[in-house]
Amino acid sequence: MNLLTAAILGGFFISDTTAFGQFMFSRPIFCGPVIGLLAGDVSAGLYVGMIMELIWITVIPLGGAVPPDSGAVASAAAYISAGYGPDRGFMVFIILLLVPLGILFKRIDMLHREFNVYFVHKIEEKLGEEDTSYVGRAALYGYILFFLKGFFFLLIIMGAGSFFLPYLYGYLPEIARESLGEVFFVMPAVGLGAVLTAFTFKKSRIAR
Amino acid sequence: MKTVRKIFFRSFLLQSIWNYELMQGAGYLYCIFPKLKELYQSPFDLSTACLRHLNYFNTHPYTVSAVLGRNARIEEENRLSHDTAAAASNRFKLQMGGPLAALGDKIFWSTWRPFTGLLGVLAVFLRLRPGFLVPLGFILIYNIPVIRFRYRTLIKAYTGELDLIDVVKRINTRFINSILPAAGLVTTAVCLGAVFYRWGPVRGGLLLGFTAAVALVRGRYRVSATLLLYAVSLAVFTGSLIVKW
Repeated sequence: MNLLTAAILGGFFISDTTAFGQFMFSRPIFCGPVIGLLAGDVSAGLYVGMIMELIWITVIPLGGAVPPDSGAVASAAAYISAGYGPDRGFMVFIILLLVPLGILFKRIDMLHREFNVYFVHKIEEKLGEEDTSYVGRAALYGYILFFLKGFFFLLIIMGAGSFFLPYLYGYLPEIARESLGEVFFVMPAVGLGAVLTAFTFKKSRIAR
Repeated sequence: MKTVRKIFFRSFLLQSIWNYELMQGAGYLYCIFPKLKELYQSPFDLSTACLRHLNYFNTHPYTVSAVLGRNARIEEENRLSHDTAAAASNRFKLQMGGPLAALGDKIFWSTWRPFTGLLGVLAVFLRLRPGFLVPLGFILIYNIPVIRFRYRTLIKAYTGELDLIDVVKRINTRFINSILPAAGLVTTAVCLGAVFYRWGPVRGGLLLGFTAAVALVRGRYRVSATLLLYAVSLAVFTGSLIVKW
């Protein structure tokens, strides 16, 4: 039940990246803690969300480019690590394993955007028949499709991840788990460094 | 004005049919639809008007408000002829889409969003309790100016109070180019300081060192954040393994 709620909420948050609103529900710093709260441990969600926010803090969707989906990864990672309990090593383990899934999700997203041309042709066809009601419906269907994509993605990752990954982590030797825990403290460096670069080595500025 | 408010709410779904052929084009038609419906009663005219709007369009999802507002006005002014309306609308959309996208990317995506995200990160470092205040605060701080901007730009572009060239001129370049980045740097510094305080000098020093290294690498080469994440993690993991052995 909890998994279903988390996947529905997460699906809604992820759809915010492109399809609905851009209110930044899809930013890790938001969806991480919220999903974490739902899964019973807000602080795990906060840490995972904070690290993920930092990794992708300066990556922006320019024009038609689709960046790796930080919201999808953060929601899944927050859910899995909140279910496991407070363990730094496990958080790092989850983040390192799930980050490539952000790129997988991006690939799915690109396929989806190619599919969306279908709606354009359908709208064109309906307008040819003087049926204007389809314009509104197309936007709704388009949104539903974006939502379902995120929902099923999260359902699979959250479900499978919270079932298998704790076992996998348990098989690691103690020393490896402790070392992963140390990585936790340095992970913010990726984002903090990127911020320093973005805010100091300015390449583009608004001309006066 | 009621129609313009409808357009405002519809503008949230601008990208729901985003595709590689028209990009935001189909979504744009969805947004401007209430205005077309108000202007054209007969199904034939309405579908013709819709078809003229079903073309390539892409801009930033926030600055689209300015295009939508002004475009609604253009449609009103040229309601008598589809040909002149098509020419005026399409030229306007093509002219404004690019520059407004660049402006939106610069202001919102590469300045305001990293800055507010960094504030959220800082709140986590400072252990703001209860924890749910972090996402709540982030979403409020980020959205209040943004939604205000989206709404006001739409209304003002529609009423003609806002000349689009003026938007570009009136942007507070000092705030965007200097003050926010400086505030971002201060926030980063406070984050690092908090780390020293919480996690001790060894871990703080490591974080500081790696932050500087990442900043230098990113300043010189185009390396993806993901790659850097794995490089840094691998380095620290191996180092820690060796030390603990």
